[in-house]
Amino acid sequence: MAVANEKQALFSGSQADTLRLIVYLIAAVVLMVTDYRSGYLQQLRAWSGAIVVPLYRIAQAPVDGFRWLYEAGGERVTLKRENDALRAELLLAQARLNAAWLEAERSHAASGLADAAGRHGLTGRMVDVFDIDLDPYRHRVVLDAGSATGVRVGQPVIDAWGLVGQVTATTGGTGTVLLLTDPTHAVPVRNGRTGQRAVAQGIGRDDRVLVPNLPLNSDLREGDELLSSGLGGRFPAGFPVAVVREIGTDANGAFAQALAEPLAQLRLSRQLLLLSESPVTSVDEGWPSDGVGPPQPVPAQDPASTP
Amino acid sequence: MKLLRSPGLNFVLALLLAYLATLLPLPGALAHFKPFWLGLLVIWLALEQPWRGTLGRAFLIGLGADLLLGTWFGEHALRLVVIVFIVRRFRARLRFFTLWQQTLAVGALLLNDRVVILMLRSFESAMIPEATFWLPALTGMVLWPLLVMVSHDLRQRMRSGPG
Repeated sequence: MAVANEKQALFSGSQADTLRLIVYLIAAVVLMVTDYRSGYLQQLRAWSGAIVVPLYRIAQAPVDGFRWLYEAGGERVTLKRENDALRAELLLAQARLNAAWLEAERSHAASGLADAAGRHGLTGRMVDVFDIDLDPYRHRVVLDAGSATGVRVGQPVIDAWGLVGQVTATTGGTGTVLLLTDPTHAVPVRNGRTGQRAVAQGIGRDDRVLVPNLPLNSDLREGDELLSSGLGGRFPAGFPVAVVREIGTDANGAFAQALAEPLAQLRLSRQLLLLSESPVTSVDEGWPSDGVGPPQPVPAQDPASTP
Repeated sequence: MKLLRSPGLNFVLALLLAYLATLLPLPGALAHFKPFWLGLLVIWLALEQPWRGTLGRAFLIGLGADLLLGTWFGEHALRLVVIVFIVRRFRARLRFFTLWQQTLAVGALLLNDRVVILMLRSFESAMIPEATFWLPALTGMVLWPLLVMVSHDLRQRMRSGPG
C-alpha cells in the first residue's frame, strides 16, 4: 500500500490528485456553508466537548504554571504595588458603579417606563475564561462553563469595565463569547452625554469599534462615553461600551463616523460576568423586557405564584 | 524508548502537539507571530512521508482543528488540503532543493495560505488585513529549517537508539 502510493507520488499521479483535490475542496465548501447557514453542525460541536475540553485544559496548563511561578516568586514589593493598584481600581469601580446606578435610575425615571423588571432582575455570574488562543482574527473567547451549568446562547457578557460581548455558542462544558470587536458584531449604543443613538460595530481591531452613519451635524466629541442603549433587547441598557477617540466622515463625506475604544479589557480578562435576567422574564426568550418592542404576554402562572 | 519506535504513535503525538501549540496563547505582541503549526506538520508529512501526507488525512486533520478552534467546519480542512496538494504536486522538486531553497518554498506556501484565509474570510465579512496578518507566514518559514533539523535528529536517534 505504502509502495503503491509512493509510486503514484513519484510519477506525479497528478490527475488522480487533482480529482481528489476538487472533491475535498467541494466537501470543505459544502461543510462551511452548511455550518454558516444552519445549525446542524452545532450538534456535532456540542458532542465533541468531551474531547475538546481536556485539550483546552492541557493547552492552558503552561500558562497557569507561569502564572503560579510569577506569583510564588513575585517579590513582596511587586505584590504590594499590585495590591495597591487593585485597591485603587476597586474604589474607582465602586464610584463608577454608583454613577451608573444613578444614571440608570435617572434614565428609567425619564423614560417613564413602568415595567423595567428585566433591568432590575439582572443577575451576574462569574465565569472563568480559558486562556487559549483561538483564531486571532476572529474575536472570541471560550468560557469554562457551558449549557450544563446554565450558559445560554444570547447571554450578554461584561467585565469590570464594560460590555464584552455575547454568548454565541455553547457545548456541555464550554461557551463561546463573540467579542464586540469582532467584525460580525454590532451593539446598539447611545451617547451618554447627549443621548444620541447609534450602533457600534466591530472592525476586527482590539482597540477600536466603528460607529458609522451618524448625521454630519451630530453633537459628538472625543471622550464621549457610549452606553448600551438596550434597543433590540439583546443587551441591557446602561452598560458602558466604549469611549469615542476619533471623529471623521465616511468615504463619501455624507455621514459622520467615529472610532471608539472599547472599555472592557477584552484580551486580558481571566474572569467575565455572565448576565442573566430574573427567572420570571427569561421564560420567553424572544422579548427580554426592556420596555422596548411589543408588549409582553402576561405570564399565566404569575398570579398563582405571588401569594 | 519502544514508544518512539512506533511510527503511527509518533504521528499521533506530533498531531496532538501541533494542536496544543495552536491553542497555546503567546504573550503580548508574540501572539501576532504564531506560526501555522498544522500547516508545517502537513508540509513535513507530504514531503517526508507521502503515504501519510495525503489529501484525505489533511482534510481530517483540518476538521479536527475546526472542531477545536471553533472555526467554520471545513475552513482549516480546505487550507490544509490546498497546502498538501501543492506540496504533492511539486514534491519531487522540493525534495531535491537545498534546505534554504526549501525554506523559501515553504514561506511561499504559507503566504499562499494567508491569501486563502483572506479569501475565505471575505465571504463572511469584508476585512482589510493589517501588516501583522502576514507575520505568521514569516515565522513559519523561519521555523522550517529548525523543524527539519530536529526531525532528522530524532530519526537518527530512533534508528541508532538502544532497545
